[in-house]
Amino acid sequence: MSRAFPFLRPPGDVVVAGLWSRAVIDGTEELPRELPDWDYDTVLSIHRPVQVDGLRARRLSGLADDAELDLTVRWAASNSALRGRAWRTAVPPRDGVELNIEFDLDGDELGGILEFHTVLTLRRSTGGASAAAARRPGSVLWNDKFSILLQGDAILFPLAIADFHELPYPTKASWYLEVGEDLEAAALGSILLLANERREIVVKALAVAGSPTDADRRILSTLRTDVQRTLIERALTHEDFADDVDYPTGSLGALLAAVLRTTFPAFTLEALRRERLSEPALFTSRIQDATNFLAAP
Amino acid sequence: MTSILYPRLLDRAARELHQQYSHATLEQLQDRAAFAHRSAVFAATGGRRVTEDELRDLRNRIVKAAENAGFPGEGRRADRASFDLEVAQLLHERSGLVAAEASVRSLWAFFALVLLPDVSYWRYPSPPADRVIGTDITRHVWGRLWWRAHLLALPQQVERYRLLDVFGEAAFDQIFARRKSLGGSRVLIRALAETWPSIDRGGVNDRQLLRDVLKRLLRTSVIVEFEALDEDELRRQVAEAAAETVAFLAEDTPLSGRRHAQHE
Repeated sequence: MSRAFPFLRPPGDVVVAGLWSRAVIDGTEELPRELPDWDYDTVLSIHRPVQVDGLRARRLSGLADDAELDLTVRWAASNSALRGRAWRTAVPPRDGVELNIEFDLDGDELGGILEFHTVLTLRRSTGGASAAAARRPGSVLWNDKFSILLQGDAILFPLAIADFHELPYPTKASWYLEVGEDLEAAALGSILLLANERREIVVKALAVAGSPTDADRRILSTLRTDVQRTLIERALTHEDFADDVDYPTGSLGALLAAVLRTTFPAFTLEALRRERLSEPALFTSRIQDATNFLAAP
Repeated sequence: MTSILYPRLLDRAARELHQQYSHATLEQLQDRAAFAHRSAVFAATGGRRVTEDELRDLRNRIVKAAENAGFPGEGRRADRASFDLEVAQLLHERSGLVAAEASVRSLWAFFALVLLPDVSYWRYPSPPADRVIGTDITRHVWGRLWWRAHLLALPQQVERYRLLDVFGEAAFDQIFARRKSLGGSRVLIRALAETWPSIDRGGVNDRQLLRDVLKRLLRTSVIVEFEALDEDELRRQVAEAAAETVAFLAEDTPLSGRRHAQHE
C-alpha cells in the first residue's frame, strides 16, 4: 500500500543505497533472501554502503540547509512482531555523502521474516523552511525495505524429531505437520514438522538436507511435496481462509496464500476447492506436478 | 543470549487436556502438574533444552507467588493483579526465553496445561481455550505476562521492571492487541509507559484515553519513524498525542461524566 505524505519529499535518487551484505567466516557475501543456517544463536553482521545527497535532500524537501537529518535502519521480525533500531547516523548537508551502514543483530528477538527498513528522517527543522516541508521530527523523507526469510532450514519450518509411539499419531508414520488454526498468528510459531525417529532414513535425510545424496534427495522431495500438500489442504479446508484477505506479513494466512499462489497461480481458491472434492486423484497429481515431485536434481 | 528451549505441547493434546481440566477440581489439577508430557516435543532450533530442575524451580516459584495471592482459595482481585506483576517479572527474569521462542504458542500451552495446570485454572477459573491453549498469546495466562515484562522492561539493570505496573491488565491488553502494528516497538511502549502517569487527563477516562492515543500514534507511524527518534523526543510526541486526545475527548465528555471518570 502506498502512503500519502502530508509534506514535501525529495525524489528517490537523493539516496543511492547499495547491496546488503553480511560477514561470513571468510569475508563477506551479499545478503541472501533466505538464511537456511540461521538460528537464535546467530549474530548477523550486516553492512550496506549508502550515498546520500544531503543538501539536495534538504532543499527538495523544502527544508533549510541547516535542518538536521538522520539515516536510520529499523529491523522488524515477523515471528516476534518486534522491531527496533539497528543503526542511525546524522546526514550532513553535503551532496555525495558516503555512509556505511554497519551493525550486528542478535538472534534473540528475530525469526520468520526479517525486514530492514532504511529511512531518511527529519531530526529537527530550522527557520526558513517551506510551509509544505515536514516539521515533525521523525518525518520520513525517503525509505526502502529489504526482507530475508530466517530459519529457512531445508523444509522451512521448525522441526522436531520424536518417537511417534509417544505421540498421538500413527506409530509407523514418517512425519506429521502440525499447523495451527489462527490465520493471523506468526506462521513460524504455528507450524511444526514432526519427524518420526523410528524412520531412520527420514531423520538422516533431514540431517543432511544441506548436502543430500540421491537417496536423501528423493526422501526430501517426498517430504516437501507432502508438506506442501498439507498446507494447501489446510488452506482449502479452513472455513475462514479466503484469497482476497490481506493477512499480516509473516502470518499463517499469508503463508497459506503464498503457497497457493505459487503452487497454482492459474487457479482460483474456489476452483481448487471444487477440484479437490470432485477429482481428488487429479488434484493429487496436480500437486505432484507443481512441486516437481521426484524430479531429477 | 542462548535461548532455553521449552517443550511444545502439540495442539491435539492441548485441546484434550483442556477439555479434561475444565471439569477437574484444583486438587485434581495439582496432581496432574508434571515436567514432561508424551505429546510435548522440543524443536530442533538453536538453544539448549530446559532441565527438569529448572522447570521444577520455576513451578515452585510461581506456586509460591500464587499462594501469597490466596491460592488455592479465591483471593482478592487486587492480589491477582499483584500476582500477575510478580510472575511477569519472574518469568521474564528466570525462564531464559528469548522473544523469538516466546512467540511460539505451543510452548505456552505446555506451561498452562502440563507445568502449571492448577495455578492456570485458579488464575482463570473456567477459562476459554485461548487462555490456556495459546491460540492467542495476547490472551494466554502465562504468555501475555512474559510479553508484558518484555515490552516494558528497561534496558538497564537497576529498577528494570519499574514500568510493569503503569498499565492495568485491561489497558495493557489494548496495547498488546496492537502488537503487530504499534506494540512491537519497545521504545514506543516504554515512552508511553513513562509518559502515562503524568498525562493531564482532564476528566477523560483511562480506557478512552489510551484507545485514542494508540489510534493517533498508529496514524502518525505511517509518516513518522518512531525508531529514529531519541527518547526525549519520542516522549514529547506521545505526550502531544495524549494532549490532543484529551482536548478532543473532553469536548464530548459532559462535566458530570468527567467527575465520574476521575473516580474510575
